[in-house]
Amino acid sequence: MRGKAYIDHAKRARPVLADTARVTWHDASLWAVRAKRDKAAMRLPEWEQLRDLASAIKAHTVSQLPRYLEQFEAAAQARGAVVHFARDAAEHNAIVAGLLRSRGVTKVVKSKSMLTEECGLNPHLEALGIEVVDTDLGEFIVQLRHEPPSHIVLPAIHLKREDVGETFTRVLAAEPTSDPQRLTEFARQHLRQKFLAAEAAITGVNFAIAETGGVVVCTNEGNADLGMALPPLHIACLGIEKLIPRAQDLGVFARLLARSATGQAITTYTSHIHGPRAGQELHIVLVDNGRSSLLGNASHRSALKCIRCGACMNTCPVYRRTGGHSYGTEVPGPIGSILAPMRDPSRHRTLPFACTLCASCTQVCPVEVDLHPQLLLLRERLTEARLTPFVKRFGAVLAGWLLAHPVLFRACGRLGRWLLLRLSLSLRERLFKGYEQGRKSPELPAQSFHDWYRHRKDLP
Amino acid sequence: MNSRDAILGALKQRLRHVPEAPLLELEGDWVSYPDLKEQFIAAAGELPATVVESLGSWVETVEGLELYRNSKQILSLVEGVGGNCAALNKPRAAASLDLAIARGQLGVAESGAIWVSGKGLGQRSALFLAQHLLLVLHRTELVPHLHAAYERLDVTEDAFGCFIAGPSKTADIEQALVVGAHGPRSLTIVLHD
Repeated sequence: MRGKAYIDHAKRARPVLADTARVTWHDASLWAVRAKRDKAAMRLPEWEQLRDLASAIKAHTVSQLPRYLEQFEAAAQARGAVVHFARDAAEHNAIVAGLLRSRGVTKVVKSKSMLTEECGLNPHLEALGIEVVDTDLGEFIVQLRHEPPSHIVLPAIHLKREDVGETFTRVLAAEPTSDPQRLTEFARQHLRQKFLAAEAAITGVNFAIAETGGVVVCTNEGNADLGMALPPLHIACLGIEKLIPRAQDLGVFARLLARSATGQAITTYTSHIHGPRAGQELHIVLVDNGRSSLLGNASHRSALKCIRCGACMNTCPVYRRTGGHSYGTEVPGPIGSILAPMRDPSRHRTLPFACTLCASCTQVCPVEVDLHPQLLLLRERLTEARLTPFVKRFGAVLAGWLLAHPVLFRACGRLGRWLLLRLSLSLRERLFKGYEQGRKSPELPAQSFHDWYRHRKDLP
Repeated sequence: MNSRDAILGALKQRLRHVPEAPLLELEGDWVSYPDLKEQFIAAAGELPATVVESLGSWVETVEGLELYRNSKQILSLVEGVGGNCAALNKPRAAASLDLAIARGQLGVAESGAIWVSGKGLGQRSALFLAQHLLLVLHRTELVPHLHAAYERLDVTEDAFGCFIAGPSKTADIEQALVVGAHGPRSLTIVLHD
């Protein structure tokens, strides 16, 4: 296969799948979140209307994105925010680092932002001697373990309470426990000191309102708010697709987001920020990093509607069993298997194949992204670009040729059946070992359907 | 060319032949509740928040609560209820608060969320650093859902405004719900006339 190193989802998933007890537990954990989402959605008779509206609002916004970006920039500036634009991850990191260094900041608290994960912000800042503490409990845990988050909403879903306890004891000398209540209390006390000592806060943005220049940040823990309320510098980072036209559109999105993500009617805190606090600076960084390319692609433009709720990964049978780390990208699951290959087809060539095309993702997406048709389309594109295994491509061409020659096809079938029936069981097992991992081969019929039909006596 | 112009230029260029997707009217068969107050109390209870209905003097109700009587440092941002510490001169000063009391402007029945505007709030850090939070809300300021809320609210009237739906919480450790993550450990709502 063509050149460079690429991430092989199936290969990464193999050791994960070998631990069947853990896989079953992970699967059940994610499915439980999906079930909560269903319960919350079913309590609202207007659920499908909300999805239609959300999809329409996002599609409209994307089709008019330059206008809304300009409107947002002007409105945010009028409220005292400084607005920056970054073409790519490197520029985003440089802007954030520049803001911090010019103000002598060495202690930063950060709340959840998949955008900053995408840009690799933390390692960039740490290399410059800036301490960045991820304050979302799940992200805090994986940060201590030097792991990436495995889910965009539930970063530590792959960990058991004993793992968390072990980490807190090993890294922070916490008293040994695996009780979630006590572990959370420990984190509360530890992070409280970080919030109080912080010189800057970096947050993500769930929705940016073009009409008012405001940014909306949703959390359950209040960690983003503690960051925004305390230090004198707040940097809000977002992808350009996070815009919505008007404040009233939040009625639709805020009703869909938490229900889709965790089955709650709303997150504990839905904060609307329109300019800095008194005595504070607010900087907003709008990032492209491949989004304008995606926007130019008619088949995949709708992936920009994504509001990063995680519902697709909660329902995906492949994600539920293989876990987020198998994907090798900051946003895993169905939407990640579109976004990552669109950014870097070679590196993420296996992701559209990490899919059973069950279409469950498309059913739960609150903004009606056509996930599974896009995944199928990506398979075609990757095959055309010769980024799929040669054996697969050659096999498909060969099969196509054979199927186009019926007499030869039937002769091969006859020969194959004759041969296989005469092979020893152990030889057959060796031949089909790869195919039979997790599958049972069908029974070999004595004759083909074609032969049976030709010689049938009892049908008219 | 600077990044702003490069990005906007790239977007305009790629959208040259893309028609504007229609923006639909924000209307639908939104859920309605026969008794807004009952629904609000039920939803708030699930958060979990404690709802106390005040029938007489709400000030007396607040000051009579065990939470109020047992709190050592109370900051009251509501006229009528006394705290026992002066207004905060800086955000970090809220760190020693046991209880913060603030007024909500609007309650959303579908979720139990309460809109708290930054206007007149002073240091918003009190809402998040205090160990416990108490919100006072007029019974008449209840709406069924967020669409109604956004129709009534001006989210730009202050640099800060927040829908607060319950105490701080997390389920990041094995999906086990823990109430009181980084923010307040409890939320008490006093509903009054």
